Amino acid sequence: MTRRPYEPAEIDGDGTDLDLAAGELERYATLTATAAPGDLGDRVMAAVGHEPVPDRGLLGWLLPASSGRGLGRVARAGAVAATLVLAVAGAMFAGELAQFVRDVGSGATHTQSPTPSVIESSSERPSESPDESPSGSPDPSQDESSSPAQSGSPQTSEPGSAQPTAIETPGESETPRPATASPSPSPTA
Amino acid sequence: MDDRALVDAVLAGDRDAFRLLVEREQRVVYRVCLRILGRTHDAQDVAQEAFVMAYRSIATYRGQGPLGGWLLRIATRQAFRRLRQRRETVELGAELVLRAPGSDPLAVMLADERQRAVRQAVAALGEPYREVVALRFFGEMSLDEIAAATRRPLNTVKTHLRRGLERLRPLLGAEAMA
Repeated sequence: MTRRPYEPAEIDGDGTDLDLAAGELERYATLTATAAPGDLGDRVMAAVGHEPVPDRGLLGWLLPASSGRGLGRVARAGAVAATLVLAVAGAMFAGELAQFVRDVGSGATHTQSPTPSVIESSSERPSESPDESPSGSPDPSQDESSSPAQSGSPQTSEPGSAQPTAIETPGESETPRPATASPSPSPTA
Repeated sequence: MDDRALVDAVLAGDRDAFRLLVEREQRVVYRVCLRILGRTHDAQDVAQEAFVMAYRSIATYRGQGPLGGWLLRIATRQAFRRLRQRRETVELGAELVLRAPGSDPLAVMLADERQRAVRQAVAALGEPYREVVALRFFGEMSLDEIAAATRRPLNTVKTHLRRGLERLRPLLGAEAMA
């Protein structure tokens, strides 16, 4: 017999068809109604001895069932509300601070971030630069080589270079005239 | 010492108050573990675990029903959890500990098989029927106590018990156990 024998009236309605199952459970419970080992309590207390004192927790601190007197509960609620307000304010400040740090950090990285892109784009340039450098370098060289060609071809450039020499040469060629022509250079000078 | 005062004393660091709770409830806690698990050493281990878990989380007890019912609920869950873990391992030479007294070997074997069938049938129930059946028959709690401990309406607990028994009927009826 168990401490609290089952009665069909426990469950409303006609539960007689369930009596067999309930009776089997009752029989099983009666057979197994053994006493606990004598050292179970000591084992439990030895295990509990390693545990810290259980934490009451925020809810337990706020709403203890045995000390539900008005003033104390109001004081606790006020303290919890103040704590929550401080926590929210702290979180907002932390968010602003994080945003500031992020802005500062992003400002520093903007100057650095393009360089990798330039490096990446320069990695593509080698394929283009060989095409451009051969075609580009010959052009200046041809221009430079052409200028020496022009400078080195005094024979062909006689008409161009002949003008300054012609300016000087007339003086030399008209040496007999300076006596008469000397007034003309001085006004020009 | 009533339940609330006992809990407050434990929360204040009074371990002797918890010892009072252990001495008061260990018999019922051990029994429900033994009835679910069927092995004495497993029942002792799980009962001890249940008490330690109750000690850790005693602040969550809000006076919903008797403290013993709250404790039995922890023990029941822990025992079914252990049973599930045990099934995942191979059971070789399972210990038959719940002997029918003064019987011949054949009767003992039949009684063992019968008891095993009861344990397996209850363990195979789905929740919440399993918990209600276990608390009612293995924990010997009244339906009012179960309703308070589980924070369910009494009629809901009755319905759960009825449906649990309906599911057990084909497994534990006279034909099935014969």
